[in-house]
Amino acid sequence: MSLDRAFYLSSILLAGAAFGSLALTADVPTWLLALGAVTYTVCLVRIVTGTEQRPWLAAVRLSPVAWNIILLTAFAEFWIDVLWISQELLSAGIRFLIVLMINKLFNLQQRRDFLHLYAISLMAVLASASLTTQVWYAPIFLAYLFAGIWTLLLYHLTKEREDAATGTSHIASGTTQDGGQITSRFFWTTNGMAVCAVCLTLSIFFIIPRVGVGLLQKNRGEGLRTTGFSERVDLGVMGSIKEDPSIVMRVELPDSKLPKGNFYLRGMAYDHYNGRSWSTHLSTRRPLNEKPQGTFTIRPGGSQHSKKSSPEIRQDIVLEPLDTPVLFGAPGASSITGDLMGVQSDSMGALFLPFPPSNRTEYTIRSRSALLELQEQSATLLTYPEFVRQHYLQLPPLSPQVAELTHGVAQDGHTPYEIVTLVRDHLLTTYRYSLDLEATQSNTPVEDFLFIRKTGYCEHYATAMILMLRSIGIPSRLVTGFLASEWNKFGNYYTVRQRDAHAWVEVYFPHSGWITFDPTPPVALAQTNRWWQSVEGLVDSIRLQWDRVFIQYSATDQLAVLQGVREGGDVLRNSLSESLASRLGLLLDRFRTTSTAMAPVNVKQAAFMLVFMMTGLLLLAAILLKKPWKNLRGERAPAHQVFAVRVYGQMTAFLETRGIRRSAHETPAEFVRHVEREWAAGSFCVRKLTDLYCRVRFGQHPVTSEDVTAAQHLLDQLQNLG
Amino acid sequence: MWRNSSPFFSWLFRNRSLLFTPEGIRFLIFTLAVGVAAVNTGNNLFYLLLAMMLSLTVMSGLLSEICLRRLEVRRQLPTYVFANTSAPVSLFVVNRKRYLPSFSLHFFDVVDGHDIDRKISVAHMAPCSSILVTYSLVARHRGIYRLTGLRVATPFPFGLFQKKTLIPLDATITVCPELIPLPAALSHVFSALGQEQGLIRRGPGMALYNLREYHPGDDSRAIHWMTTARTSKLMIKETEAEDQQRVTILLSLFSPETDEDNFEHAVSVAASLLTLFHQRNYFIQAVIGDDTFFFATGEDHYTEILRSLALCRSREPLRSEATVHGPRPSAEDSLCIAILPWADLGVKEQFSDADCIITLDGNKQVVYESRSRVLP
Repeated sequence: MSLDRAFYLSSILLAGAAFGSLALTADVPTWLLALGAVTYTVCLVRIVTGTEQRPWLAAVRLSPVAWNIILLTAFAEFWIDVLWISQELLSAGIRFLIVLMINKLFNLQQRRDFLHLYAISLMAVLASASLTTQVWYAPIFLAYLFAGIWTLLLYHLTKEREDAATGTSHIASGTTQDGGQITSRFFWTTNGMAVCAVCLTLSIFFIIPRVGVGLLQKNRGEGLRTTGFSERVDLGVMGSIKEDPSIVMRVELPDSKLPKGNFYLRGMAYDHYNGRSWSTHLSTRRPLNEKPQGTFTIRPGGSQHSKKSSPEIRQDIVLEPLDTPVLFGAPGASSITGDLMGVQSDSMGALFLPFPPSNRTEYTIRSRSALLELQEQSATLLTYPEFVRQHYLQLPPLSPQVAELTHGVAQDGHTPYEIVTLVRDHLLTTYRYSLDLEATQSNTPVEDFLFIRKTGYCEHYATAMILMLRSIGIPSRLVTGFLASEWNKFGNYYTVRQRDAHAWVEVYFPHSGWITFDPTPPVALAQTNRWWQSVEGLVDSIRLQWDRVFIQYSATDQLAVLQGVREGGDVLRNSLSESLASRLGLLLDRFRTTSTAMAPVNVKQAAFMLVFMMTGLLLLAAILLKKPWKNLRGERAPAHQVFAVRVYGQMTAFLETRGIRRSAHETPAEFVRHVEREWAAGSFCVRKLTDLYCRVRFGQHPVTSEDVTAAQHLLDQLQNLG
Repeated sequence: MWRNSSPFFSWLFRNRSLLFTPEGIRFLIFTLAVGVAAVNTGNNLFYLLLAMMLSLTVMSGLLSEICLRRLEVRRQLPTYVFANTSAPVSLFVVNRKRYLPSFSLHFFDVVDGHDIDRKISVAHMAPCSSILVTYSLVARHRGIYRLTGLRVATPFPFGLFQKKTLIPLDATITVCPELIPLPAALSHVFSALGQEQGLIRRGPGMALYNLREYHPGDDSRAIHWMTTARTSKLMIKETEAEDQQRVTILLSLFSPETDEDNFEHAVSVAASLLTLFHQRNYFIQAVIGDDTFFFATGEDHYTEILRSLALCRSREPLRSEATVHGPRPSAEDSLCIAILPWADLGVKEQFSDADCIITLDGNKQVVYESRSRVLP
């Protein structure tokens, strides 16, 4: 491919990457997108096939007047859009940018047109960067960078060629690409440059100090709408989001293995049920102490005597922006760490941000969930504190059937724990899980679930269990959150979606605290294509990494990296010094042992060692003085010198065959006189070749093409004489 | 500041300078704009774009540095040039890098600290290669033309800026006075004149003057084959010159400062006459101010007189009667031509023995005045 064509192609590809980024990001009208795509295709076909082969392509042109009218119209439309229609500068500007890009793509003739196209492309990429944080921006950016490198390089090279052609400068040698063609070497070198540029870009990106002033910054809008995490939750609201696959958060467990049972992410807890909805009467929130900076310590609630708990689970959570300030984590949270404005907690252990986050939130939470103590499992009678009895035994007006059912189920239970287990098992086994419920406005939804429909989902199960337990005097509460079940094997984290929203039960035991019980039967997951699921997992993992490494990268991360490097350096230095000290000690010990052993008897061996060491030192000194590596560094004689020496060598070799040998002490001039004495007929050629040799070898004179021809001719002449 | 404060920076920036191209300035403005947007919004994708633009700038710096590294340049200048006449200068450029090529090299002569673009570019130099480029040098004024160095610049790879390096290549050339066309009548007169002398010298002719060994550059037609065969050495036959004409050129250096142009023109006339007689193999004697060159012929003699003409400076005449030239060698048996930039009567009197006095009129036209029997 010729340089010029490659230059056109790279320019079009650059514009294509920019157009693609706008098309994927912005709300651009379909007709404008279609027009842009057609323009782009026409330009590509023009370049790839050439207008000579398809003359109709050349005819696809508008007159300058028509273009001016179109641009003026687009400019007027831009202002109308900004002032009256969308009233958004960015979206109106993007539409105008696309029109400008189409204009330039159709009218790429002069150098300034190309420069305008590059400026428009850059603005387009900038505009799309301001509108998106999606992972597809990464390939678009890479394509833009590659095309940018090619374009800038070819712009420069073609400009130099043009300057030479117009006589502005005189190009002295052949061009880079064999007569203006892209060679494979040029192709790979340029791509190598692009790869280097990518690496350099990433290095600079991570090093460049992060400062966010935030002037004129636009809010990204509301977070994901979710239900079940407000002060009051109507029974059955979770059903509306149980089909929603939107990702709510991703949870990594860096220090722990995968939990054996269900992995619950606790959100809010509710104590009061009025027959149709749950609410909390203990909603007073208090801010948590931040000590050390960035770490908020959570005081354990419930039991003050709980001794038995599960091993600590560390969870690194990336929470998408939601419309609720609730923070999620495994039950029994003990501390929360992150770049958070503040954390609040209510008396039921729910954690809150001061306000719903507008951006993604990253935090680490450490949990140690309570385990039921053995004596409480077997205790027939438990004494509950007044506060617990007051809040967690509350019941709405219920049908006596509920109490009858509970007594029937619990009649075989001798201890509160057995009763709880029996009730849970009854619910697990007797009722059918289904999301397909008719939207009835029943005043007694739990009774409907227990006695009429016998079908429901997590909220119904959990509420029914709580009411049954409370009816026989066992304190319990409803907890809403998520049940994480989708493990991403590529990124090693749980993907938690809206449809994973869940409600379960916490039962109070005076010594053990609040223990989790889940009466909802496991849901049979819909069979999905395993291959597709893997791809989805992979894409999600890439998306998470993109968000973590690029989108959320902040000054805090930079500091963390710096600290890590410093700590790594300290560790390395310490280990090196320790290693050196130990090796040196070992060496000294050996030397001491050897010298002690040698001293009385083996003087010869000691002398040999001494001589050996001295020789080594001398050798080292000689190497340091001579610096033989200097010759390895590329001090190679230039080609013209090599040529002169080669020809002279051939001449002396030939003369040797005639018995005229050059002695070591003879200078080239002396050798000429030697030849004159020995073989006068050849002396003329020898003198001329020696002249050339001396001029080039010692006089550093250049060798012209005439010199080369003459030298070759003289050598031939000499050999013919012989 | 950096260059002075740290040896590292002084090493890094040795003889280097940067000049942004118009495209580079626009690129820089865009980079600054993206930087401001990134700082303002804290948007990491803006930072990514900023990093991309900075990396392109850094790469430009690195690659242009590689292009300029380990280049060796030698310049070959003529011994002398004539003012306002182009003379060939050759540059011998060697890329001593073992693996890396150099691209888009532009060469500038550095004269009095200024870069003079000779419009010479080398598009590509392979590793360990050399190239010979030539260009025309035109000096505007006679005297010594000093080239303090050679600047090599490259806009490679992206043309955002030109990185330049200074290679110290100090060289001087003698710029001889401009050769001007003499009036046809004067040339014709001079061509018909001359004093016949019986001095034997080498030159074009038929009679044998000498046999000598062949030197490179000799005309191969002059090889004396018989002697060559006899001695087994290439021998050249030299002939005796047939014409033995002699001329004395006298140049007065007295000229008022206000007539500097006239003086320069007179010097040019002298140089042109000198060249004319040199081309005709005259024996030339020249008196330029206090410098005297006795009768001789040949390239060296010619060059020496030209050098004197190149360097001579005018002298302010105090009064005409006080403006006295020093003693001159005898111009007997030769055509004596006096060139007077300042045609004062007193000065003219001092050159009364000259066969021809050349002066310049107000329009710098050559006016000659014959005082000899031999001149018309």
